[in-house]
Amino acid sequence: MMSTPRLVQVREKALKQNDLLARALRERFREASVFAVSLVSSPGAGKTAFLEKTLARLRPHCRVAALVGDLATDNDAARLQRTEAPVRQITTGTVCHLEAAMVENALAGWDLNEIDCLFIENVGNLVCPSSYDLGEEMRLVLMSVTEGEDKPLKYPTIFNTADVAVITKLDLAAAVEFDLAAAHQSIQSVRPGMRVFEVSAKTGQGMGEWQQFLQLRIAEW
Amino acid sequence: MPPARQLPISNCQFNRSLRESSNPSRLKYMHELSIAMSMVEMATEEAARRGGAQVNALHLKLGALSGVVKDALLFSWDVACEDTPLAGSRLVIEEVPVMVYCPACQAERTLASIRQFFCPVCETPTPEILRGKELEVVALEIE
Repeated sequence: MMSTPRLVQVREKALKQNDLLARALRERFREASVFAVSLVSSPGAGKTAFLEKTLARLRPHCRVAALVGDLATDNDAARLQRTEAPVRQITTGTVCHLEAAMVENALAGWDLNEIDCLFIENVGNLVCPSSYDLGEEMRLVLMSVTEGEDKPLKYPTIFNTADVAVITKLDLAAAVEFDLAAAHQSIQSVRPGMRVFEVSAKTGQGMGEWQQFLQLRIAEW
Repeated sequence: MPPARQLPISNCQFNRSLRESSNPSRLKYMHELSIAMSMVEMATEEAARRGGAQVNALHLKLGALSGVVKDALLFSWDVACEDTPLAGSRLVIEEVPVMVYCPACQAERTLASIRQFFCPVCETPTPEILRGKELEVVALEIE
């Protein structure tokens, strides 16, 4: 029997499987009242240091946990475990980003009802993570002062998919002659109205304001 | 809950294709390959559901803010289609520019660049995106 070629209309997301899994995760987080926050940045922008200090600051107030993605090693998880919060490493091998299925697998055995705020640290990469929904409620994009003020203009998509921007390593700003006003301008030109925090995980500068903002969001959740 | 996705190529095969590639660095950190594989998987299911045995082409809408590079996706396509009903198929991409709503003009406007989120007419900043995030399969040519 010969069949004739035909054009059939479909309307499906190319990342349908990931989107479905992310939606299911979001539903689970909502039911268990878990506020999920993901972190994206280039490698070395200070996600882990920022997260370490954030976990330590939040722990007296709410139940926090973290998943941390890397291509290899569990060094970051070991570092974060010093905060005594539950932490799991996701090792992606050759994969350059986290996917919803990896988050789902990493959560196995955890009782979500015992977590108020879950952090998901993505693989250091400003390109690939932008296409993958992880079921998070808030996506942070971090840029360090050593990377230059125009980072958002170079990676507009990831800044556009994020909800909040964090400028890190503020203690080095003077040494690298970082122009804060120019950085804010870059961020606003790719994502008008975006909330921006300026912090130094090392000195604690700006961390209080960030903590206050996050605790309010968790409380409202 | 949908079943965990089965990738048409295992990591192991993926690594082999990396080694065999003349320019492995081009493939190494390309999420476009996993996106291509996701589309192949979906198209295979869709074609089977519609009684088609073979897919000749897949039509995709690709937004400027989708986070996917057209050339990298095209480059990944043949690898992703290998040993599937889509082997030898074409990937037809329609690029979608970013369309925003300008609150001042009260009109839809096409952005000049994804680095300039302001109205190209009156220059009012606007974060309100109407189109441009698409990563959507719109049609299949099957037989």
